[in-house]
Amino acid sequence: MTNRPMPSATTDHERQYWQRVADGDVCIVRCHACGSASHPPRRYCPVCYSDDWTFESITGTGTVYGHTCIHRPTRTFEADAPLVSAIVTLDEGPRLMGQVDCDPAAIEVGRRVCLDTSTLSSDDVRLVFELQE
Amino acid sequence: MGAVLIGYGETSVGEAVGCGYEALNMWATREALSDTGLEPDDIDGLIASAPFRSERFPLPRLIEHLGLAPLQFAELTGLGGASHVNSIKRATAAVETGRAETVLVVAADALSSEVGPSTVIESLAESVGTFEDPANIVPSLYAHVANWHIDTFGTTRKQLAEVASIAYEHASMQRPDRVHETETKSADEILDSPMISTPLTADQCALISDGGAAFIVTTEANAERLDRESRGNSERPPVRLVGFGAQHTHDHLTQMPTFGETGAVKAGQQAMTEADVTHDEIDLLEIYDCFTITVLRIVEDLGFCELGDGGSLIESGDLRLSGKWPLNTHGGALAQAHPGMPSGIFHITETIRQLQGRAEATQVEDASTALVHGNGGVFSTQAVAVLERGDTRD
Ligand SMILES: [Zn+2]
Repeated sequence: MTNRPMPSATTDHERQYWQRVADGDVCIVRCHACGSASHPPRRYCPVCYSDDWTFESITGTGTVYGHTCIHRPTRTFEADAPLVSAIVTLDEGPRLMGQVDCDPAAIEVGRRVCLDTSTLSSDDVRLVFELQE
Repeated sequence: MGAVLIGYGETSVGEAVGCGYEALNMWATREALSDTGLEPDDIDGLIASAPFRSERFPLPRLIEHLGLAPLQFAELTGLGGASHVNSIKRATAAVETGRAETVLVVAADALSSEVGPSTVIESLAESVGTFEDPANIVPSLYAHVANWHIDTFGTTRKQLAEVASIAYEHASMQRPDRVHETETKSADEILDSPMISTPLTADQCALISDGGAAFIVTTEANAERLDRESRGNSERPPVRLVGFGAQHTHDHLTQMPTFGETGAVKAGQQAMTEADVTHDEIDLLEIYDCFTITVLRIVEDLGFCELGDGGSLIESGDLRLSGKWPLNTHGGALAQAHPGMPSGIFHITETIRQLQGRAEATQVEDASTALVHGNGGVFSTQAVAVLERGDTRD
């Protein structure tokens, strides 16, 4: 698998987000002013515009909302094709996109998945989910 | 003062038409001027689209190139495939409020020969952003929604492919210089093209073409005068915008509120209510077709069938030329042309052709009311316009 290096973040909160991902701690944003959860991280809460928010670790479990098997990825990930991608509705509410390490025929909308944080590092921040029973 | 669409112009389209962004825009403009009997000096408003390649000040550059200065009204579009349907509203509003008398809406680019397919694919993927990697080629984003539809409603891959088959059939009926693809393809042939991102095969993704088009919006008084001067009686009726709606909902696909409702639900209701038309009164559908799934979802959200029944509607034949709601009679972005940002403008020039009775082999009999739709981003922006042949209401 091709490593996905840390993206060059343009803002502080994006830098913090990717550092947490690299440390195996994938987070969403929790606003303390209005209680809403959001992703991706932005300086101000998209619901109430408050800057009183903190990162909140996710449990990593969720449900497949959409999925596809990419046969022609971008050049960087050419060697990884075909690769399965999914949009996952986290149990916390927000949705994330990530790769799913599975047989392309096995994935379906509604399948439960769990994030595998064991491969995350500052050299590889690719989110990889596994199918659960 | 009421505003009307009076005519259009198109360049040749294809892989290498032979000139770049500026010249293609001039070509489309020249055809639109000649179609309407106008001179460059008659144009006092412009809505244009920036080239795919980045440029600091594209609008003044284009105005100078087109020889249209001075203008009192000029804007750039920025809503991707929804740009030009939105521009119909912006142009008619500019004329109706007196900001301009005659507005040229033009969009053209040499996406195939000046930019090239691999640069297009790679740089669009970059623009998706870091949070939706690695599914970052644009077709894969739409593909997530396509599989959601398949898994949720039992839609088949063949039903999706049928959208492209209809597009190729309608393109094959056009004059060859008007279309990028000239041969028909069955749904099975569409499915046999290389897999890009399941379930979308290459033929279910928009083309990468050179080309462009333009149309002209002016006052009803000007339209009448031009008609008398150059064409005698109203053999070429003006086209009227009778209803419009738009909705902007998200940027990242993961942030789309639900795959089960695009902004087209509200945009469509707004446009059809304003136009006071029912679905049965729509004579043809011009739906933005960057991918087959786009059309399938949008016909549902516009109420031409229930959510989940898009596959059956497509299979029914109702969207073929002989059907109840002929779809993308020019061939759409799937088969006619997709020069990037400008691609949605052909859905409008085709609508003008149809409503003026000039659509040749794909002419829909007695076409008097059309719905034209634009989609920008990944279902991010939805724009819907209802257009009518000008002589249908007083
Ligand atoms: Zn908040």
